Amino acid sequence: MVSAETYGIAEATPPTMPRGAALAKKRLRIALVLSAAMIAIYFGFMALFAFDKPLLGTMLAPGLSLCIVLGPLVIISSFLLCLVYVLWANRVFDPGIRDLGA
Amino acid sequence: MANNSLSIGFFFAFMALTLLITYWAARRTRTTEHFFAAGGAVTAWQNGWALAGDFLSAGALLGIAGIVTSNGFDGMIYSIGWLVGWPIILFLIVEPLRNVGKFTFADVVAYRLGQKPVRMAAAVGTLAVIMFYLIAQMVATGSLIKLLFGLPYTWSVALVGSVMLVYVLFGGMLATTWVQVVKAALLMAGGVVLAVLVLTHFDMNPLKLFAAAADKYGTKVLQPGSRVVSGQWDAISLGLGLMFGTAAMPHVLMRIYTVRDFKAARLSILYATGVIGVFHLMVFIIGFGAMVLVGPEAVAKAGGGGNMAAPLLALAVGGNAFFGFICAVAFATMLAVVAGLTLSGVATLCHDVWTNVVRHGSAPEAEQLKVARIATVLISILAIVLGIAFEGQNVAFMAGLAFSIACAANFPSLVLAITWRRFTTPAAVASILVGTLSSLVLIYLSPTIQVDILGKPLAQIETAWWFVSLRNPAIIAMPLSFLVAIVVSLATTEANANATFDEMQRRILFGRGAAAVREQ
Repeated sequence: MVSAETYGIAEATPPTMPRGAALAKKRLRIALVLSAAMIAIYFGFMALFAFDKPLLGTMLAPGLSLCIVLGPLVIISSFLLCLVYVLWANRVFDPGIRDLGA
Repeated sequence: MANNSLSIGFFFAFMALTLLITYWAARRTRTTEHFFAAGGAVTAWQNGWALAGDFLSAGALLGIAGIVTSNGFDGMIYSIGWLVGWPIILFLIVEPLRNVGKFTFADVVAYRLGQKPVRMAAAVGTLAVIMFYLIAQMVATGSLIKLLFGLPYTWSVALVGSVMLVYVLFGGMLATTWVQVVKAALLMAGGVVLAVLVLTHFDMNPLKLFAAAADKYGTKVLQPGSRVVSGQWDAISLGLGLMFGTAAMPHVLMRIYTVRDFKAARLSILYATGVIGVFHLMVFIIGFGAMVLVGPEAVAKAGGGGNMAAPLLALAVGGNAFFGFICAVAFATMLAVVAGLTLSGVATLCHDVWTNVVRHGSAPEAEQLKVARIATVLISILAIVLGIAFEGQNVAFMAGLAFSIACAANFPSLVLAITWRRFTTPAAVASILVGTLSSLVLIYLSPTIQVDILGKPLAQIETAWWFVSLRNPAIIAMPLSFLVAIVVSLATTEANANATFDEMQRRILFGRGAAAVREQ
């Protein structure tokens, strides 16, 4: 595993900033898109909870209402969004940083 | 409780184990790097569990299970809110924090700005969060231990305060981390076993459990209601506070420094999200289990405002031994959470206030450690005294208030410091102070304080010009804090902050360059 400290070689030989900047920009874009997705999912759910309780309370089957489906889905989607980011970072971002630092 | 000798036995086993860990950790805690960040030697997997341990309070098991037992679905609103902040930490905060900071989130906010004013303001915000959360935890702990073990309130608070003092004082972050890991594993094991035992009564099918609850208490228990969270905008405000408050909780952010690099930090957030998510799903099952198998009436009769739902359910489905185990796990949970909170308060007092403000950024290691230990004793004594002083008071709102302050005071300045070139020192100070003060003022003017605490009739104050109907201040306080930060930034210029922005971005990308070069 390559630690953040290893990237510190960058201090001695500064990486070309345009390439670094491009990678940083890419990371920020993905971070913002994923954050927006999380915020949309969560506040979409909370907006239903706040403003349309009857819809959220629709019974789909005995023992199953819409909110009991959506609530756990919000929890699961939080984890999945995290997983997407970690996989992207491990596959694209970290190797990119390593190339720039070397 | 008749069988509290068994739970006391479990509890002493936990104490013995954690004190052994503390003894082991104490011999390895020689520098501030060890004391505050466990030497950066915690693995991602360990830190993921420790984050979960730090974050899951007794409220997450006993509190939410109790709310679900008496109100059904609505308890899940809290479970979800406490989880959705974690992705935000991962996407926006973890890498900058890990690569730019050392021990506290103020390291990042102050990096480009005036060290002293920003760190003092951040200390106000952080300590406000920690003290309110700590009081809420201490009072809950005192009354719960009284309920579970029959120990008098004052003794319970003093005992928890003293044990937490021992963990932090001698073992620092290393001991605290392992206490969190052990506690999280016990809590998770207890939660999973309890949920599975419940499901054995329903052919392992949660839907049969929910259907049984609906048969007994009506389908309304499966539908959203308005008893737990009243008011439409209040629900949104609560959501904001939970999501962005979680993303700026000082004791959570501090854990990001305990792993070796940002890759490990990222992974640990992923693991924590998984652990906490699974746990909350279990608690939902446990709450409905207690509703069907114990009954809301029996839970209410046991006292503690619904907190006995999970222990009583354990008694019903697992017998005395399991009841004792769950009680002991609840105790361990309280102990671990207050230890984590105390440590992050100590980091703020020692690293931000003492080293960077009083001593202008450099103090000998030995002196910093001494200050850290004095601060540990001070915060522990304060926690015990306040815990005893607030006995019997309604302090449940303080936990929510802590999240609101974290959301309004810490989150805006942290995000803007990382992403906005124009952000200035006066803006950071103003944003943090406005976030803190507006949360306090808004909650004071709301029914939370005016009706619940001061006992004024709602009808009488409803028409007053100062009345704020929202019980959760985040929806006003957080935008206000952002607005103040932006307006003040635009009104002021700070050449140095502007000039160091690129350097900070590079550091966010490449890590602590200078330190690594020194080591080579």
